[in-house]
Amino acid sequence: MAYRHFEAIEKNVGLLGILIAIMVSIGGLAEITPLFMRAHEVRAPSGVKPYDPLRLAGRDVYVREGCYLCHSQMIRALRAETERYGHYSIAEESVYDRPFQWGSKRTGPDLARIGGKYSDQWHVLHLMNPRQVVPQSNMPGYPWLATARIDAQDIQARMRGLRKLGDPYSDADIASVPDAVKDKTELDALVTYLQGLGIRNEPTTMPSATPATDGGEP
Amino acid sequence: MQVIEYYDDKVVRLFLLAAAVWGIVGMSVGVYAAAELMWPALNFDIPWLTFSRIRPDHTFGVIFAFGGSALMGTCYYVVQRTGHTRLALPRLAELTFWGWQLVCVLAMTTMPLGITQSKEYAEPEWFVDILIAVVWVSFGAVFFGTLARRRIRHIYVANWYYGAFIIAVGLLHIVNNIALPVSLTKSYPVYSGVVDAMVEWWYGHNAVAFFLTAGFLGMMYYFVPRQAQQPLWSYRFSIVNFWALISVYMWAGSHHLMYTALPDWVQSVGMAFSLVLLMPSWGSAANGLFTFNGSWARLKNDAAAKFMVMSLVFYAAATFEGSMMAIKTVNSLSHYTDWTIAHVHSGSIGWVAMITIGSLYAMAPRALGQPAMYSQKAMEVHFWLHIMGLLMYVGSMWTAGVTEGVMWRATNADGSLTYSFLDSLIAIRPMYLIRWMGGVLVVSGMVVMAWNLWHTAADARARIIKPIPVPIPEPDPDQIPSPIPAVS
Amino acid sequence: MSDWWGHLTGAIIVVMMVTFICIWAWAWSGRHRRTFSRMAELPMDDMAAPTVSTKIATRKSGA
Repeated sequence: MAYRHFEAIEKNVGLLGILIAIMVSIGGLAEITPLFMRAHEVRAPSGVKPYDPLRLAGRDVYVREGCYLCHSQMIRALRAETERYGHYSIAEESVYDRPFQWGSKRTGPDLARIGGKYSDQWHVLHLMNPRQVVPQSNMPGYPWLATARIDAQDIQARMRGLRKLGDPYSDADIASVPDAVKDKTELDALVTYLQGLGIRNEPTTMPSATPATDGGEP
Repeated sequence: MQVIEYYDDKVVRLFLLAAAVWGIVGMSVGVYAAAELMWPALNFDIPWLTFSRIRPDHTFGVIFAFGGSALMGTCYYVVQRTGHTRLALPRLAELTFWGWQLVCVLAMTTMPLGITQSKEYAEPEWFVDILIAVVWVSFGAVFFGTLARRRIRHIYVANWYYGAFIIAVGLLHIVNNIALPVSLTKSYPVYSGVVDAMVEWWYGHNAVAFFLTAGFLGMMYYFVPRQAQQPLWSYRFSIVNFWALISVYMWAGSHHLMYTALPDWVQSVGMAFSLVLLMPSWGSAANGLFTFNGSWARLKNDAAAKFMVMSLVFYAAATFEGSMMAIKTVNSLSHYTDWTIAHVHSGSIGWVAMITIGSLYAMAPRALGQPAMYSQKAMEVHFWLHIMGLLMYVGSMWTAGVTEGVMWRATNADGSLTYSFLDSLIAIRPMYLIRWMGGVLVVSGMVVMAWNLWHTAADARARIIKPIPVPIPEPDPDQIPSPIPAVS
Repeated sequence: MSDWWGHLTGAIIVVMMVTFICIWAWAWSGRHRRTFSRMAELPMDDMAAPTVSTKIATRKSGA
C-alpha cells in the first residue's frame, strides 16, 4: 500500500512539484536559519562602525566596478594567509557589508587588510594605471574615477535606505553628507574606502590559538 | 471522432536560434575577458570594456542567455514529446521567449554600465530581477500546465529534472535577490556580511545544481536515449538518482566558504554532503553512458552522440573534482586560485555546453523539418574544435591553479613566505595565453554550429515546415487527473 | 549552533536516509518493470523521421 502512495507522486504533477519544493528547501533552511538567528543576537563589536559617507561612496564604487571578481576580502584561518595578509577575517567585521565582498578568486591579492599598507598617492597612481607602480600587473586602469564627482543627495538616499535595513545611521550622520563629500571624486572615495579596510575593524587582540595549519606548514 | 493535434515547435525554433546567438555572444565576451587578463591595456580605459565590468556579462551570457535559452527550448520540446500533447498556454510560451530575451538584453547592457548588485552570478539589478521572476513563473506555468494535460500516465524522468530545475531556480532567485532599491540603478540586499555570504553561496552553488545540472540532466535523460536509439540503461536507477540529487545538493553550498568567517559546523556539513553528492552525480553519468551500450558504433559517424558521450565523461570528471575540492585540505590549496576556474569550465564547456550542443544537433533537424543537419562534416569539425579548446582551457587553468596554490603557501625555513603575490602572477602568465587560445577554439566551434543551423533552417526561414502531428495514444480510463481532451 | 538545532538537523538527515532506502526498494520492486520499460521507450516515440539514419537510408534507396 505504501508502494501505491509513492506511485501517486509519479503520476501526479502537483504532488511531484510540492515534494520537489520540500526536498530542495530542507538543506538551505538547515544551514541558513541558525545564521539568521545568530545574526540578530550578535551585535557589531565596538570597533566596527557603519561606513561614513565618503567610505560608503567608495565602497559603492568598489561594488559597481566589480573589484570582487579579482580581489577577495576574506583572509582564511590558514598560516600562509595570515602570514601574507594579516589576522584572519572574522564574521563581525563585515556586519555592515551589503553586499558582502568576500570574493571567490584572487587574480590580485586579498584586500581585507589593505588599509594603511600603501600611501594615498600610491593608490591614486595605481588606480589610474596600475603599471605605473607595478609594471607586471594585469589589473585594468580605472582613470574615469578621477573625473566623476560624488553626488551628496545620492549618498543621502543610500544612507536612508541602509537605515531602513537596520544600519544605525543618525539624522546627523545623514546631514553631514554634503560636507563630507564636497569636491570629492569617486577616486578619492575609493582610496578612502581602501585605506580604511582592516584598519577600523581589525580585532584588537590576536587570539593565542594558532589558526589551522594544513595550509601553511612547509 | 478523429482529432488531430500538432506539436507546438515554433517557440522551440525561436529558442534554438536564441541559444545559437547567445552562445557566440557569451563565449566571445569570455574570450575578450581572457585576453584582457593577458593584455590588460585592452580595456582602452573604457569603463564598459573593462574586465571587472564584462566578466558578469560572460557568466550571465553563457549561463542564463545561452544555457537558459537552450534549456527552455528543449524543455518545451521534451515535455510535449514525452506527454504526447502540445503545449498548454502556447501564447504564454511565446511570451516567455520574448520575456527571456528582454531579460538577457537588459542584463547584458546594464551590467557593463556598472548597474550591478555585485553578487556573483546574480549581478543584474532589482528591476531585471523582477522581470526574471515574472518570466520564470510564466515558464513554470507553461511547463506544469503541459504536464497536466499529458496523455501518458506516468511522468517521464526528464520532466522531473526540468520540474526541479524550474521550482528550485525560482526559489533560489527570489530568496537571494531580496533587496531594497534606493534608486532605479542601485539597491542594497537585506542580508549583510556572513548571512549574505551564506545566502549568496547557497544560491550560487545551487544555481550550478539546478540550472547547470538538473536542467541539463533533463536534456540528457531525453536526448541521450533518443540519439543512442535505445531505452535508458536503467529507468529505476534514474528515479533513485533524482531524489538523491535534489535532496543532497542544497546542503553543499557552504563548501564555497571553507576556512572563512562562516561558522565551522556549516563548513563541515557542506563538506560531508559534497562527498555524498558524488554518488547521485556518478549515478546519472553512468546511466547515460551505459545507455550507449550496444550502440557505441554510432559514435563513428554521429557527432551529436560524440558530444553527448564526452559531455557525460566530463560530467563524471567535474563532479568528482568538485567533491574532492570540497574536502577542506584540498580546498585550502585550490580556493581563490585558477583551479576553481578550471573546475567550472570543465563543468561548463565540458558537461553543459557539450550536452547542449549534442541535444541541439539531435533536436534541430526534427524541429526544423529536416531529415538531418545540413552538414555532418561541420558537426565533426565543431566537435574537434570544441574538444581541443576545452582541453587547452582546463589544462592550462589546472596548471595555473596548482601553481598559484603551491606558491602562495610556500615558506622558507624561517617561516617567512617564499614568493610575493606578483611572483605567482608572473609564473602563470603563459597559462593565461593558452587559456585564451582554447577559448578562441571553442567560440570558432560555436560559429560553425551557427552556420550549420542557419542552413538546416532553410525551410523554417521560408516558412514551409509542416507541423508534426501528436501521436495520440489509447485513452487511459482511470488516470488522475484525466488528460485534457485534444483540441484541433 | 544550538543543541536542539543540531538534533533537529540530525533527525532530518536520518529521515532522509530512510526515505532514500524506501525509494530504492520501491524502484526495484518487480511490479514496476513493465511500466518502467514502457517509460524508457518514450524518447523513441518521436522517431518517425530519425535524424541520422534516415539520411543514410534514403541515400541508399536513391542510389
